[in-house]
Amino acid sequence: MTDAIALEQITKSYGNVHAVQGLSLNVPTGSVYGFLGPNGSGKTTTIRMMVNILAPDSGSIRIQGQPGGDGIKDLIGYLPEERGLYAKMKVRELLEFFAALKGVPAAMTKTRATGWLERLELGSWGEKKVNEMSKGMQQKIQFIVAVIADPPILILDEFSSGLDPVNANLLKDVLLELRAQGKTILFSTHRMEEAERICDHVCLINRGQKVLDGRLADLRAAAGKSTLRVDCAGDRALLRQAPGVQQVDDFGNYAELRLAPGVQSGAAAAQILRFLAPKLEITRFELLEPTLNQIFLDTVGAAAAPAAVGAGN
Amino acid sequence: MKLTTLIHREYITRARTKGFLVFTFIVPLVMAGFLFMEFKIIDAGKKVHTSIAVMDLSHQLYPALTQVLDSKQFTLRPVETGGGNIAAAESRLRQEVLDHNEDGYLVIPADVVTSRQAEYHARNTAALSVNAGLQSHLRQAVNQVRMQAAGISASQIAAMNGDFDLRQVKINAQGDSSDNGSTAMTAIALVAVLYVALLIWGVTVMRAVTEEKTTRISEVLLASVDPFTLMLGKILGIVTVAFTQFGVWALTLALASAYALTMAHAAGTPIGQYIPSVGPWLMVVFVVFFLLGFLLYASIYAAIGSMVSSDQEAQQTQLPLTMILVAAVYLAFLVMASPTTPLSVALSMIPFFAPVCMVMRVAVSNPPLWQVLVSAVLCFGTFLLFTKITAKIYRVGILMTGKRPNLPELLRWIKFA
Repeated sequence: MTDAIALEQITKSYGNVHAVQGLSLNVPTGSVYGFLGPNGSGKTTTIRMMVNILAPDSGSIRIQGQPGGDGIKDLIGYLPEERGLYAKMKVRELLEFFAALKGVPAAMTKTRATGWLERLELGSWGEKKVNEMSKGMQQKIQFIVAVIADPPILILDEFSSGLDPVNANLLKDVLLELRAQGKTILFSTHRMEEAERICDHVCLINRGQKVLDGRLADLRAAAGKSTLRVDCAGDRALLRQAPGVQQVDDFGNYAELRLAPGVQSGAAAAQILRFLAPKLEITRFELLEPTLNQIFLDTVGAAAAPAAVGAGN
Repeated sequence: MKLTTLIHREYITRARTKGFLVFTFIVPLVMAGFLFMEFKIIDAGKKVHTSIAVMDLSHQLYPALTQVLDSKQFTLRPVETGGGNIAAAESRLRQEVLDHNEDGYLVIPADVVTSRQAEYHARNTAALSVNAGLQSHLRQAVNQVRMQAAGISASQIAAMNGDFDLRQVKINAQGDSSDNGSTAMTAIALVAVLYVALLIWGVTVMRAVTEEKTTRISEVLLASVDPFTLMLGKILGIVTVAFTQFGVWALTLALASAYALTMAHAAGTPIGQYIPSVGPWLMVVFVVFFLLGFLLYASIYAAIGSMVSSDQEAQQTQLPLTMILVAAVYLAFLVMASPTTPLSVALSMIPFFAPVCMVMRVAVSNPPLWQVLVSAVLCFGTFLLFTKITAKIYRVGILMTGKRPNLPELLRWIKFA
């Protein structure tokens, strides 16, 4: 099956700033694709090239196999990082306008707008003006603008910023519904736990270059089970003395122990348990896969060091 | 179709604002109201009858004065001095005026024919039409008396006092046509309308573009349409709104003029000759070049709107364009003075000046049809070209919020997109 989005060796510079350098990635059709990276890593620039707001300096972009350009605009629903709505328009008119602009036939714009307003619990807001709404509501409207034309691909740049947990959850449910309908969803975020909950693929970029990508499950498996969660009472300083422990993050209620790299995790865990069990009152002892956050920190941290040296030259 | 969607949105959101409705409908009503009131006031002033007691110490002016005086406006009554006591007669007249038996009294001195002086006493000395009427009638009466004294007969005097009519005939290749001298007025009026409309609506286009840029709507829009369609939709949308307004105004003006003419005709005042006449060909040229000029300047204003990131910045950046527009109007006066010189022909071909200069040429002379057509095509082409350039600037400019680009940067933007 053709990939929904395929970037090949994309490069984009602003003067001396190399925002994106030789980036290649493939977003499989039907996937929920997390596009992750620290601030200023080139996420938004890459996304703008996907939706043809920016043109890459070199490299090729294919959307559902078609070369990027103005022809692919109707295939993609886009929620930009910085919100943009006509503040003085009525909500319903605004939605109908953006739907029509994405090629929805005039006869259908009304029902679409109504349907989405109700789905996102904004049913009574259709005749109000955009600037009468709260920030969170406007964010939901911006989301509807992206999905109203029912495009096969959704690109959402930081879609949940500014939403309270209830609304963030509501949108997450909608996204999962859309995935069930076979849509491809790419979203960028720097909130790892969000990506962890709903993504099946992730791509991690830093300084305009890809550091990691693949199926989330594969990435975690590859990273190995290298973290121990320990809930205990007693002299917690003992945790640091346990054999084979590289680092301890004590959160008060519980502690996370990072195993030294290269050790066989099962055997190491058993050894640590034998060391701690007589000395502490342990209520929980669990060997975990690393969180995406850890993978992120490990990878970016490792990648950042040599890059920083390079920048110093 | 995306273009019509854009135009439609631009139209409904603008045409529905209070400002637009007020400006479009209330302004002409107020103007028409003023016109109507002014007319009524002039009319009322004419109908007011002023009765004046005349003390003619020269004993020769009164008959002449009654002859030349407009009996609709004035009633005169001769007053004798009553035994030569002028002061007593005057104080009697003064009381009569205060008692409202007379509106005023006129004292004509004995040497009026040589001194050319008289005195008018009245409750209201600020009634301009009364003062002016009296003054001119007195002058006429004095002249008449002097001419009679010089032995000129009454019929000769009447012949000399007749009005003079200077007819102006405009020379046309298609045939000469009579003109009432209002051509220059027409041309100036048309140019003024163009200038004001371009300035006001050009700035509207510019602000609309800047607003979309600063509110970041442009990013969502650009993800849906290509920048050229976007720009075209914005410009055409605003043009449609503007021409709706002009249409309403033109209709109101036409109705008001028709009413004024009818009223004037009924009142026997031939103001028709003062109302500029606009021939059908001039009308067509005006509307076409109005539209073309509008599109052209709107597209340039849009370009400015897309390279700046705030209204204040836009104000500064638009200055050169405003100057071009002002220059165009000045040049139009040059064209008015000599519409057929090579310079005037050239000016009417240069797109930035053509809208005003070509309208001016057509108003005051008869440029060949091909020149009008070439100028129109050039204008339209420049509009498309600028919309294309604007689209490119816009595409790069929307993502730039820092400092305004200088010219080399701008050229890079255009090349880049």
